[in-house]
Amino acid sequence: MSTLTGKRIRKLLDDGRLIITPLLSPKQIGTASVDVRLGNQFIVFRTHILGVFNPYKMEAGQLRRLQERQVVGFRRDFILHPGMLALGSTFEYVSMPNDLECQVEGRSSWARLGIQIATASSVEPGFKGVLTLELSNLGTIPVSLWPGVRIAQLVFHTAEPPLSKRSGGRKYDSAVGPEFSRLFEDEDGRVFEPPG
Amino acid sequence: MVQATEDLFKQCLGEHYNFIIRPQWSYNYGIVGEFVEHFRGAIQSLEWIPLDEWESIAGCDPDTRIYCISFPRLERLNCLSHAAWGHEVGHVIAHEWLAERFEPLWKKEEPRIREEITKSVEKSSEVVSSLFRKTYMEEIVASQCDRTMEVARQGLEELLCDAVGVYLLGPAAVASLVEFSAGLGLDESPLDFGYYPAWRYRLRLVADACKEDLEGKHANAEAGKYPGPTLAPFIDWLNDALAVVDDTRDRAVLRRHVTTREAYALIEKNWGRISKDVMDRLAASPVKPYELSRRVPIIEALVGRLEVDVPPNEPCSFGPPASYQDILTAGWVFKIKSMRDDGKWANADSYEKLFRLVLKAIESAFVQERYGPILANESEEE
Repeated sequence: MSTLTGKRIRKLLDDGRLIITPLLSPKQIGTASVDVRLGNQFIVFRTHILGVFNPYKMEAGQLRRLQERQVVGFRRDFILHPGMLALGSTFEYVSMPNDLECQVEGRSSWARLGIQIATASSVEPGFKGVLTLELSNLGTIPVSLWPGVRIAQLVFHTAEPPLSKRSGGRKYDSAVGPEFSRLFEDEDGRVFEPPG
Repeated sequence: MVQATEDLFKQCLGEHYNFIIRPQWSYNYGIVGEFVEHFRGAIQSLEWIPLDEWESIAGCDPDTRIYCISFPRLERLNCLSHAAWGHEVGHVIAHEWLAERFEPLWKKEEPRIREEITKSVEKSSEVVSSLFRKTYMEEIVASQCDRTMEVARQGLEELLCDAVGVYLLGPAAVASLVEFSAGLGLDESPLDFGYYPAWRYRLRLVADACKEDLEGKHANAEAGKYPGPTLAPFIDWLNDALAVVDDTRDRAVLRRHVTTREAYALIEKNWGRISKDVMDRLAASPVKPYELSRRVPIIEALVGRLEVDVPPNEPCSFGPPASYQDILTAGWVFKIKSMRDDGKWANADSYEKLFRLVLKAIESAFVQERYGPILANESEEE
């Protein structure tokens, strides 16, 4: 597994094998990464109606009642308060070839303000969609996030041998905004559910 | 999509036009307004509120116009159907044209129409005492004349709106009209249909408006055979759907009553001149008529993106952002092609994925168009 340089990434983009769209500025392609921007949709918890919940036992409709999607216009604020978790997404839509995987890494400039960007950071070969970001404020002051700003970077690695077919589920494929958790689709919940 | 739509309408009408676009429970598209003039009128009647002060608090200059476009909540995600918004913005243009030009047109045509109505009423009216006959006849003729005028005005407004929709969005607007009308009666008399023209009549005029474009008038012969395998299913589908206009039952319905017969005689006599006048006004704006046959390579590229589940916001990486109209058209072309190619494609999941990709593309292209050049300049300066 080797890390792709900016030049190689650019070649893949030009060939159309890798798609990251739209790239608003060529400067987004760095030495060995691509900067991605914050999209304008967020999912936040409706904490005022939330008790303890079990995500494995929750159906899509129930989960959507506990979370809500917010659309924030460009050149508008989304305020992330201390201790708050919000799901955001990249503005760019990514289509991965079968021989690449990538890691989503938060930019250190945001980390220095206490903003954690992504925890589920691996994007598998063949994935298509915007990348959901788990945004949380670990600091002590509210921070304003603006849709469109560069928020994270993608670091690409070759996957060997290339996949002929993706294994496993594609539950988050073709997303155009942050996606609600779909833990309830996993078999783990059925296998490891405590009795009673 | 809302911001991008408003941007297109502003280019077409002017910066001072503003639109609220909202879902409604009623299964219909509509436009209401204009609100600034309405509130200005209301406040003018309240003498103790200084109008200038109110306008400066509201932050609107004297030219500001605000309209509200509604669309069916059930179709919220169905952005392809929202090509009908082109028709709705047509109301602003048609309304302005009618306010300026309809009265002189009516005055010119009225004597002949009155004469026709009088003849018809004389033939058909019941026997009344000769003492009251003259008054009775005058009343009936006057009322039929008013009705004819309303049928003509409403008919012209709707038909002009359709023409504006086709001008702005091309065959996507026609496809949206075809789909919307599919579940409705095609030959309702305007007298039973809120003075609206029959759907078949409307489809006939939009079919005429885009006939040359669908036939490939502007296609580049060197680029290959028009329409080509990507566009052919969509063009064929539209032509098949528009074949309903060969049937002339709607015209027979119009001939049945003197008001509809005369109103539509007036429309038909003047349609060429009126529609040209309105289109000339539109052509003075930066928005030029959308012609699919000029856009074949780009539509093929955008459909190619949809085929691999990628939003069609640009034809290729680092390409220029696709236009609003190209994206909507590519969505329609992909939908019809997929339905033709795969009988199992048309299910809720496929539609949802398509609509989301098209919506994402419209937003991405809008942001790219607006902020891309600014970011590129900043990169150069650094």
